[in-house]
Amino acid sequence: MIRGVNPTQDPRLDKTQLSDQTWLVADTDDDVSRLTSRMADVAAEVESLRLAIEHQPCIYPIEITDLGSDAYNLVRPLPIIIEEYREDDVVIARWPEVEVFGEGHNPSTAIQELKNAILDLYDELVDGDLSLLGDLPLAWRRILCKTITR
Amino acid sequence: MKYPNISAKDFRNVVRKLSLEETTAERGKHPVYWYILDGKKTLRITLPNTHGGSGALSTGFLHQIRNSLRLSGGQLTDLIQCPMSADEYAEIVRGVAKPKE
Repeated sequence: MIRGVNPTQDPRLDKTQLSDQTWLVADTDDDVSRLTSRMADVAAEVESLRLAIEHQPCIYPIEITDLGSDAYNLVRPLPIIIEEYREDDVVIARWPEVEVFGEGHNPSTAIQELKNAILDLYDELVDGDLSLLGDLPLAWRRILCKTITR
Repeated sequence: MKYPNISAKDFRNVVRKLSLEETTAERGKHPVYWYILDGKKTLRITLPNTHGGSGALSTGFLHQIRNSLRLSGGQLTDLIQCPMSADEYAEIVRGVAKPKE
């Protein structure tokens, strides 16, 4: 679309030149229109990526050196994973090797819950009847016995 | 991944359907259950405390439940909303609940 005075109606301008300029402006307008449309597409894609990232937890590893009880000791520092879910204001602390986790509103409370869950699992598997355990809990028991002393 | 709105009460049905057995765990704030398969304790599942209200559970918590049940997001929804039977769930677990060699 051509903006302003229609150049073909201006007697001071050369007709041939006018025709070229008209095409030039029309092409530029098409380019602007295409770019505007593309920018809108890119903005929509950026927004959808922003939402996807916002829903991803912030994940990082740390080590704990204590289980919060005088009755139990860790043989070695225990590597655990912290997952911060900002959208829910929730933090998950987990020890993936034995599938236990703790939940809290900050890393500190989540880690404390994880320690409680580890001690519960340890007591149950070490003191319980071995013949009732499937392959997976038996594997967890082996790991727990190598990692914790009472 | 995003889950549909799932509350703690939605898991009461799962406990009944899968005959989950509550563990002796007492230190944590949420109840922990065993899934028994062929007479053996096979999976250990922490579920939300139903006294915690009817609000939607956090994505992080649901993700842990889903992993401990060995289900995909869609399968978890099927289990809660009933299309998946206890036998169908047992077949899924038989295929995946083994410690890595």
